[in-house]
Amino acid sequence: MSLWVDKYRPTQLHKLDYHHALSSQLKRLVDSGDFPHLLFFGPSGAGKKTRIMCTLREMYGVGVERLRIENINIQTPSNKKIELTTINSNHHIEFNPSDAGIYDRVVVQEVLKNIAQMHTLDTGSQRGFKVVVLNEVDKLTREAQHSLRRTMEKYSSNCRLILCCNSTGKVISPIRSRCLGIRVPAPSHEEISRILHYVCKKEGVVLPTELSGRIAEMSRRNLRRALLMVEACRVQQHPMSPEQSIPLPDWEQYIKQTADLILMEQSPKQLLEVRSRVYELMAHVIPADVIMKYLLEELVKSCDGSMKAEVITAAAEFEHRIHLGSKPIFHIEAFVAKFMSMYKRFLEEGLGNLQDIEMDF
Amino acid sequence: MIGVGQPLRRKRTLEWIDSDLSPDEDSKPADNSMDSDLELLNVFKSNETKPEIIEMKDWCEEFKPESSSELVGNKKQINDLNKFLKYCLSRAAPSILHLSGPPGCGKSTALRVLGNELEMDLVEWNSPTAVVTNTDIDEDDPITYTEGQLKTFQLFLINNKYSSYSETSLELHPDELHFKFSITKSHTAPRDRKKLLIVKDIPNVILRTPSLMQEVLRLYHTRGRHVLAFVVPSSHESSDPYWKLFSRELLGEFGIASICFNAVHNTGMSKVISRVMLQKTNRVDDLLLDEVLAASTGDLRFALNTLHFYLFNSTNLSCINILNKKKLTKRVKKNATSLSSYKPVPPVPVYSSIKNHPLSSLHAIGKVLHAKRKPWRSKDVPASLPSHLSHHTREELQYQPDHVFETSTLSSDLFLSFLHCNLPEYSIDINELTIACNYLSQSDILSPLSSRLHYIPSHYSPYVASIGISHSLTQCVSSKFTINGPIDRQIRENISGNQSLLIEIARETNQYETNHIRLATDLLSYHQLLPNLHNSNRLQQLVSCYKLHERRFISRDFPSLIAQPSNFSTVNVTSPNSSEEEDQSLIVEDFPEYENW
Amino acid sequence: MDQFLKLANPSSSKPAPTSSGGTDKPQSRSKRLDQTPWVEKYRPWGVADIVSQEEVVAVMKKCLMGEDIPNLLFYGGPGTGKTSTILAMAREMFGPNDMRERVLELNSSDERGIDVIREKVKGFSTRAVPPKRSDGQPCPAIKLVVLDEADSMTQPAQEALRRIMEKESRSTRFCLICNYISRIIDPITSRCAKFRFIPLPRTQIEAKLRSISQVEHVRISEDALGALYDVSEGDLRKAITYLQSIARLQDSDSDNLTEAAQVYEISGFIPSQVMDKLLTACQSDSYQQLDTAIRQVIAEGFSANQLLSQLHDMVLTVDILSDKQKSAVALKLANVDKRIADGGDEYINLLDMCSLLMQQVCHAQL
Repeated sequence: MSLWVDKYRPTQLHKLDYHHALSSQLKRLVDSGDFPHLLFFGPSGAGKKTRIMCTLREMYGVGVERLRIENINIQTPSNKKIELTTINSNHHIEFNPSDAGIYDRVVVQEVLKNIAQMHTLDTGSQRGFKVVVLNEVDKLTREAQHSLRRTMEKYSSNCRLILCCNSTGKVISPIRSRCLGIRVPAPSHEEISRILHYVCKKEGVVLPTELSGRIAEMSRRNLRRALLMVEACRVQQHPMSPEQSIPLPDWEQYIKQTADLILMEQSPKQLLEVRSRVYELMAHVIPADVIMKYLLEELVKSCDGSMKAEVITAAAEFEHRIHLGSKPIFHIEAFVAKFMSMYKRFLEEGLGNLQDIEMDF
Repeated sequence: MIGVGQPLRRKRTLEWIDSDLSPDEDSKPADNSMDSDLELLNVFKSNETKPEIIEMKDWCEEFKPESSSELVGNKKQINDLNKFLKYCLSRAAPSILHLSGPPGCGKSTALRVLGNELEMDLVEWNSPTAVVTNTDIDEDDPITYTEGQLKTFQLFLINNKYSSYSETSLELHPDELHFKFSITKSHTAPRDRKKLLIVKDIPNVILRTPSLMQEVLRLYHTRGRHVLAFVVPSSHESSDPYWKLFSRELLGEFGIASICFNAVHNTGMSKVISRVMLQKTNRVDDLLLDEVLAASTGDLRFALNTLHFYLFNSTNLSCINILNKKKLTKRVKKNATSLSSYKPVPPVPVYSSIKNHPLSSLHAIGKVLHAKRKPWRSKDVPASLPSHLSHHTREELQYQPDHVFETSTLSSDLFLSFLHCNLPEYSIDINELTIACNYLSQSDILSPLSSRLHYIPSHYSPYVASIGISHSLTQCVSSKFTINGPIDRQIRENISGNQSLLIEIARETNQYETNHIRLATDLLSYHQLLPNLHNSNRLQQLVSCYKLHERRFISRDFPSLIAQPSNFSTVNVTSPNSSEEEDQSLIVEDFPEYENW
Repeated sequence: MDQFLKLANPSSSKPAPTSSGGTDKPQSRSKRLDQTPWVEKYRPWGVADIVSQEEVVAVMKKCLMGEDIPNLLFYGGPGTGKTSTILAMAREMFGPNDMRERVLELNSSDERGIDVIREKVKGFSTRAVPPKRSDGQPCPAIKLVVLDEADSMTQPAQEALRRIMEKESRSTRFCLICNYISRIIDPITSRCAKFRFIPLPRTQIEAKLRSISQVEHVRISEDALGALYDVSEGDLRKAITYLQSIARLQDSDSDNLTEAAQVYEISGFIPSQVMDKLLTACQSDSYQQLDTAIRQVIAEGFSANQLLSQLHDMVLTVDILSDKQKSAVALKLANVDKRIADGGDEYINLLDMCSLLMQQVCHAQL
């Protein structure tokens, strides 16, 4: 039994539910017999991966869907062994180079080299090349990206790369210029609710239109999340009602509670409490910048205009420091403390002129 | 500084440096610094032209303990060492020990005393000194040199004796490679006695190319018979060769037992120092005792040498003097290091709990968080700051915040963690705390662990933190005197544990989602859906494991995460958390582990 | 950057004829061969073919007439023809056959530490060459070392290079190519003749693109050509690359011309409607609207960097802001750009950027 997200994932280009123009472009590329390196980009949950798999399927047929998971070991020049999980079919290999951390450069080079060499052995494949799917290229280090561009040229005769990332901003321009960029925008609210209805119909459950609209709204145009939400709703209550509450991911709820704590009391003691909660989140592998982002979202709701700008500036600054420093907790905490003192001042000023107290929350 | 002593002392300093940097010192084995200290003392004396002082004996030698009962230091750790040695005696296979600890905590002494008591033959490796003269280091041909030293070392490990080296097939010319070693017990031991090979200074070759270590150890593993002990001093600099040398993998691969000694606790120190004082001067000078204690931060050897020096100098003592001395010696040693590139700069064991920290480092944290200021005296109120800066006016600090870090024995990373962990409890005003947090965040950016790509003046990191925090916290919490140990490490372990769990789950569930972070933020974040994920037994196990350890979000208590606050004034540095029931064989794996992050 | 233009695979990509000679090429060539990047295919063959950069071309022509060649330092934005120029000159000077022997090309993807400079360059430059080409024609008895992306060379490597430059001046000329001349150490710049390559003007880029699209049978509207120039910012290589992408995505069955919108789509250029919407949100003084607008931009998959650079262009020209306000916005732009480059979150940073813009627009403190 698998989740609806996986169960109803389209596997063929013509079955994709939205971005039809894009699908036909991809089809044309495949039909032309050869294609350049591709760079899929777009926000998460927009369907990049689904489109990549569909493209591969279009190219190689069902063989691509016979996936197997392999662990490969790679030795770095400094004799450190790295284990990497790859997902392979006969025609492609997919992996996440950023899993290797600072050794991503070595991993990319080695894997590509292996594939290029292996390929010369099996000449019977349908196409003249194998496809390597690299995820999260935007998380690659600069060095890895630079070496990638060299590697792309070197092995272009027998393998093609499909790169996948959330934002092209962090991909160096030489790589961007070597790839055909394919932007996958997030589905619109209407598209999401259409898909939700389709899935629910297949599952034989009734989805109230109002609920689907709210889910689409809350999913932030992330289809994956929308499908998870609708399934969670279904588990929570059957049959679903239009006004039922939509469950949030538990960590998001937790961040919400944390934000409430911050708004409740601004004191060093409260900061300690917040710290333990942030630690808790981090221990659950929620990335620090995500914590920061959601915390900001919650906190900003309770500020008035000019303070909003201040809070956002502070958040942007400390979020930047997370990436520069080595201890994310320091920076999240510094932000929380800063917010606390700003908010306290705001409250005190509010108390100062009680007559025209106006808080928009 | 005291006016009278100043010129003299400066002169001494110069000579001190000279003697330490003279070329023949270059090859001096690392841990023999006590000898060099002695020499230095001699130098002073001869300079001071005080003929009535004839005593030239090193007190460290004079008062060295002869039995295990006399050993000061962490009882548990000494016990561990004893157990390990006994365990080694009981088996035929070779065993390897990695003994580390801050300088002067009695590593070698403990090894010597215990080894003697267990009737082992102590054989000490000294790097061949003769070869290291400059003429022999032929820059164009480093290979022969390297190989020579390495071979000598290997021979030592296998044969433990100089004599057997001529019998070996390895062709070496005796006059090309001199190496000396000492058998502490001169009487001929029976054949079957275990030997305890003590390696204090690891050959340069191996320090330079750590991969050789594996080779050497592999050789020892197959052909050695005795107990091999590496005695490695630990300090707080991160660029140390020993840390690389004794990586976790290495320790695991060869089953190397690792024991880490703590700095000698104050009670033990004062016991020894007062005994010495009593013996030498027939009275115990409490003031001197305290100051020697404060200055030596758990370094018994340093304490004895200081004491030695000051008892003869019999000038007025002041803490600052001793502190300055300590800094001076440090600096001189550092210079020597850079010249000979030899002086070990060893690993910082990251302590997870407070028990392992010497009191002095906790004091340092306390001094930053709870900065005492001298009250204004009417005459030295400084010219008032311009009005826009007036809120920065502070009374003068009692301690210089930049000295505070230097006197603590913490690494800058740990120092920051400590400060961070305790900061909110020492502040009562959120505005001040905000500023302090900001400084902390700044110092993290500067920290050497951060960006490795850019040049950053990382040595400023702890100073930014300590000065910034002591500046920003003006209202002292009067009654609070607890310091908690940082829990960063547990958190990191938690994170990495959960990460691998998630990766495994990702592998089992869903072939599209290889990204474990996405798994955590999306798929597994709906606890309602977790039952739907189980499509195999294995997965079910994993997910339930994940639920058990993971999703404690909704409940409000965090049992394991927060370290129990322990009282600052009663922190027991020794704290033998009795673990007598430990199985012998466990010791090998269960010794305090090293991790540096 | 300049990487792409060059030596993707020098053996296979025999430079195609220039625009004038290539019209007779059958369009139905094997698809496989179509993979040659057009930037490579349409690289200028001789010095005379070089578009724009008159000053440099004049000097090059003189050199070809037999004048002494100095060491060269080419700098300027990407895609302005630096590499093409030096390669074209070398080809004319040495003839295609001797190129391999006489020209050493190094770029930053190659290891270019101090050792490589020492060994490779030194080894190459010390070899003597005869004063004539293999086909018997006379040519200067020199070799050429082309160091592409010289600004990414380390300082010590540059120092090493300087000594080599001096020592080998009799037999070797160096041509350094870089984007930012400020990153080249002074001793080197003083040893070279410096040439600045200016961004190509609109007419020339459009003319070149037009000729290529005729040869390759790309159906593209005049509007789209203009759009191509807009997105390329004077970078011919970028423009050609985009043109090729357009050709690849074009439906070969229909006769529709590619329109400007598609060009913007290909290049990741944010359409002006989206930008206008964002600007309107900034003027609304409503945080809610701003938040929605930013989320929308991100959800559409546009990159924050692109947004920032377009925002920058907009803010500079917009008349609702005073100079002082503009400078505040520009400062924030710089900050935000740096943060994003360091890996900062796009949403938070864009929010920061736009909330400042909003404040400047709506709560101006003049």
